[in-house]
Amino acid sequence: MNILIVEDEIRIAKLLENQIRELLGSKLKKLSHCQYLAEANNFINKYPLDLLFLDLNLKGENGFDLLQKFTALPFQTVIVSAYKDQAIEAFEFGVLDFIPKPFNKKRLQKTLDRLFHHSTDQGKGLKYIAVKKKGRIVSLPLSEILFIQADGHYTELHTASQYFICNKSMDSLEILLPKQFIRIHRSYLVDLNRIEEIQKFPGSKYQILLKNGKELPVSRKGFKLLDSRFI
Amino acid sequence: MNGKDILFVFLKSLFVFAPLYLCFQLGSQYYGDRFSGPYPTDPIMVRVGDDPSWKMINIDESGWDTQFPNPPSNYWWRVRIQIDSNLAERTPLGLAIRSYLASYEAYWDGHHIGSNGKVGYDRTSEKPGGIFKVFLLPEMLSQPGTHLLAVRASQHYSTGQIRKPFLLLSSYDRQSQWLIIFAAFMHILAGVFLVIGLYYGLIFFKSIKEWQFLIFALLSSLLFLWILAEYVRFYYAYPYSWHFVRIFTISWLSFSVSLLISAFFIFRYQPQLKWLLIFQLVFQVGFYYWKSDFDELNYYYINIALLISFLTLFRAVWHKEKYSEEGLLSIIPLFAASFFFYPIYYDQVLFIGFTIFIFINLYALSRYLGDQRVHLELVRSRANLLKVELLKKNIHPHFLMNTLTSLISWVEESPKTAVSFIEALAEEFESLSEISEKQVIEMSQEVDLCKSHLKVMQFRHEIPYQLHTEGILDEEKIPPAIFLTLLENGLTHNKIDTHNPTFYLNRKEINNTIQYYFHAPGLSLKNDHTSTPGTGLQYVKARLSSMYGDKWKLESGPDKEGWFTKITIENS
Repeated sequence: MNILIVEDEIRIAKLLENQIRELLGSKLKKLSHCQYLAEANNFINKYPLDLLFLDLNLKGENGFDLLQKFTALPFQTVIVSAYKDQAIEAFEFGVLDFIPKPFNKKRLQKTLDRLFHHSTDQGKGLKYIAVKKKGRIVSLPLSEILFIQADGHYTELHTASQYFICNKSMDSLEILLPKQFIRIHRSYLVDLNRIEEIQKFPGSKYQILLKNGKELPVSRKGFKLLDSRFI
Repeated sequence: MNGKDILFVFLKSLFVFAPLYLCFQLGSQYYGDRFSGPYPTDPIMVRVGDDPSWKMINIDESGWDTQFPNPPSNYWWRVRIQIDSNLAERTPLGLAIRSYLASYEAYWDGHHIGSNGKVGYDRTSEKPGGIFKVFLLPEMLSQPGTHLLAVRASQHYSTGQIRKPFLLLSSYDRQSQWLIIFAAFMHILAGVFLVIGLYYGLIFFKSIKEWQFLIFALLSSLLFLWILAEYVRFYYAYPYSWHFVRIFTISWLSFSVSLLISAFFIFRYQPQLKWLLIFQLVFQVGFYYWKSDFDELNYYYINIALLISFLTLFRAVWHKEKYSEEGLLSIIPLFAASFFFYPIYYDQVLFIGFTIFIFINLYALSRYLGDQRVHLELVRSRANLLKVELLKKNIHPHFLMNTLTSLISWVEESPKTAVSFIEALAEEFESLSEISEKQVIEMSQEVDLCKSHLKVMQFRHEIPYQLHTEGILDEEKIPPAIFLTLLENGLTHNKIDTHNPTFYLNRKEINNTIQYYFHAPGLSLKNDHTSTPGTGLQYVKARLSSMYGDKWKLESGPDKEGWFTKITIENS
């Protein structure tokens, strides 16, 4: 696992580094630290990354512009900040977690659990997903998404009238999205509220019909999930 | 000032003007025949000398003249007066002789009807008469037709001026009442002026030391005195020898009032025009030596005051000074008095003008006082806000939480360093709590504060920050935490990668100003320097305003090696 810490206070970066090393042990492949954003941008462009720890109050720059930029990228972002009141907004923009300062190992463990699917309060507060539209990054409201389709390393977010390309993988999105989004198939995530009916065909073949008439395939595993949620 | 306001002020003026005008009109009605003109008579015939037979109706009047003699000669004068049937019905009739500076005996159709003072041949034998006297005419001698008034007079107390008698004939009751009633009304007004004068005097001496209040207080008080001096002659028949003392007093009152009117507007709206007052003074003194007639003199005084007030107010209105339109409006009635009512009715209309003048300016001043109160509230609430801002520096989450997180890291790595860190933090908190309630601190306190903050930051960033000061005065009074704020800004916004980052604080005195130059090292991470100032800089500016008013300037921007802030304070 590749992790980057962006933190201008050396002592805090050191503390975070030590705790991450202890918690992840051998799972950690590379842990890097940047003090300033310019360095961080360079790093992100050059090296693969799975998780970013970001101090939101970076020397006078606007945190939320950055947040939109980072959350549009394939890796997950975790905010580490002294400003607790910014947490809600951070979650809206699709960060994996918000760690208030001062933090401890227990709190950090919770964040990592979330990353490894053990979380119960997943996707709470998420309102937008950063997507690319004509080369620009925009925030797509979650409420407009009908379903999500895998496209190699990327995903396509379908709304009623169009679709947007997202840099995050199906797996990454599945972690971020709230419970109403169900993985019905290796390549499909669907909003439960958009489903009109579940259709069963001979030979254990399944598909769903969305309210707008679109049909999507359902895997065996996906059907079980759906079944458990529709009782 | 919009149309509505003008209407409002106009209505207010009417409110004042109307009752006065009504008194004026009713008074004239009540008085019956004439209010202020003399009773129409044949020409007055005069003869120097003293002969008791000159009181008789039919004597040879050849050798009598219309010229009054110069004192100290004793003389007689005779005049024929018509009583029409209309007047004859209003018996008993009263004959008033006013503004006549003499001691005299009056004879009506040859009968002695009374004396005013005692006629004499020199100062010792003469007893000066009062400034007015009302004689009761016998009813049998009040028939319609021509009557003769003969007067035996001496003027040994006169100072040289000849004053012809002013005769009024009407019913005795009204004759004796009307002027007292009129004077009573004028004294109500005088009382109002006195109260206004006292009130604004108190405002000046007890709370707001602004010249306009003192001038307005003096102006109102002098108008009060002027009314007293002007109308005393309606109810108190002082000896005629005092007459010029009174006239002289009035003249000096009008001299002062004229200067104060201009001074009021100049100090209120255009203080840079103070020199106009010298100009006015020179003119007034010039008039004093040029004109001998006191009525005319007063007229000139008032007019030069109006001219200068008008210029001042015109300029003030042009420059959109607050409430200057009201000022301009307030002198219009005085202009009207000069243009349309001189010399007849001038005195009366002038006082109506003064009343409107005082009331409109009273309104404008009270608005101004209201504004001041609002401004004061604003200043007070801003001071409170600043106090809160300063207190917040102690407990700001960004500072506190980051510091605590760093502290955890030190505790884990080196408990000994952690202890030093805590000590440094305690030192900073102590310095902050010492000044947090203050509006003004000493420079040395501020420098201590900056140094203790740097020490804390040194533990957090592991960078040996330095503060270098030059030319500062330890006891100099400055607003609290302004350099601390600049220091914090430097630490937050600059990318510091030198080995020995040093902050500079430099004080210089240049051209009667004090200049503080503060420099924070490192590359600024703020790209947009024109953007609105951050809360830090806003705090600094608010502090400077609350201590120095508008006598300060702040420049800041990036330079090669960091970020500079230059604060210039005008020496007062």
